[in-house]
Amino acid sequence: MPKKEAEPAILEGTEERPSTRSAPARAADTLETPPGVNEQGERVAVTLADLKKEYGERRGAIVFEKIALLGGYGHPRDLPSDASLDLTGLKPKQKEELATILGE
Amino acid sequence: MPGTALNWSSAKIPRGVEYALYAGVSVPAAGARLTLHTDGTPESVANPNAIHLGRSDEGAELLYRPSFEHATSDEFSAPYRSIIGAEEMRINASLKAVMDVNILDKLSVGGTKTTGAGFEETTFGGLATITTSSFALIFRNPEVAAKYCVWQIFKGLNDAGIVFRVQRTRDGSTPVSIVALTIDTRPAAQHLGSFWCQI
Repeated sequence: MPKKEAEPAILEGTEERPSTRSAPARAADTLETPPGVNEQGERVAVTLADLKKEYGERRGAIVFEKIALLGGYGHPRDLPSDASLDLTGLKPKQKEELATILGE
Repeated sequence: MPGTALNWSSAKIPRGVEYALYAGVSVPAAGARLTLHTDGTPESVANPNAIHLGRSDEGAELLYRPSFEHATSDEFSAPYRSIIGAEEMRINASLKAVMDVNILDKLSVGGTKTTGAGFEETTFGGLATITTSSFALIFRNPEVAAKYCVWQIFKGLNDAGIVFRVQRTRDGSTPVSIVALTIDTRPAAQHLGSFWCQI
């Protein structure tokens, strides 16, 4: 039997290491369309859950807060429980800042 | 001098044409609006969590009602100053698809959805946190094709609970009353929601 490869140890208190590539970039690699990214590869919506998956628990929450404040959506503590933020209404200047926040 | 133009336009009078109520729609940026598909439904990529809340008994009632604090003096018979003391924004309806756990999940507030092999379940009671969602009633202009109006509550919850009958001769439905909660960290004048129409 082939030797089973050991699974990497997950230490308590550590986060899953997020990908360093942006969601649209990864979508272009794999032809998948991640949530909130349209067929043109443009990100048009974000949710806290998706950002946590993408950037890790803590950084995902920070990225979500920065976007929420950037677009005037409201502070994350005030937003609906299942909040998704529609990014299509952001102004060009805000979209530039969004790209910086997302590292795209 | 000419008179004042009369405003008889019937295209500004609402009627339930191609209308639907949604939960989980996206919150728009300050000064922006919900992104719609050309068919008048929330555009699915920009609104990844949107869910249609199904059929209703008699459409929906949309309400915004400020209440006022009037300052008066003994010397005069009418208020000399008024402020808005409270504001209420709601979507009221009677919804039929109460057997849909995804819909119940959005309406029950204190419920928790579970699905498994061969069952879908909602359990009630003991939740420490309130769950809220963004709701929108979208309807078409009755006289203009492909032009839609949106009444959106940015953050709301159903404070009417879930009450439905199971009866042989009539289908069940539950009255819902979705009340807007304030997002006071949004810019002024858009804490609760919006009503807008495509023109």
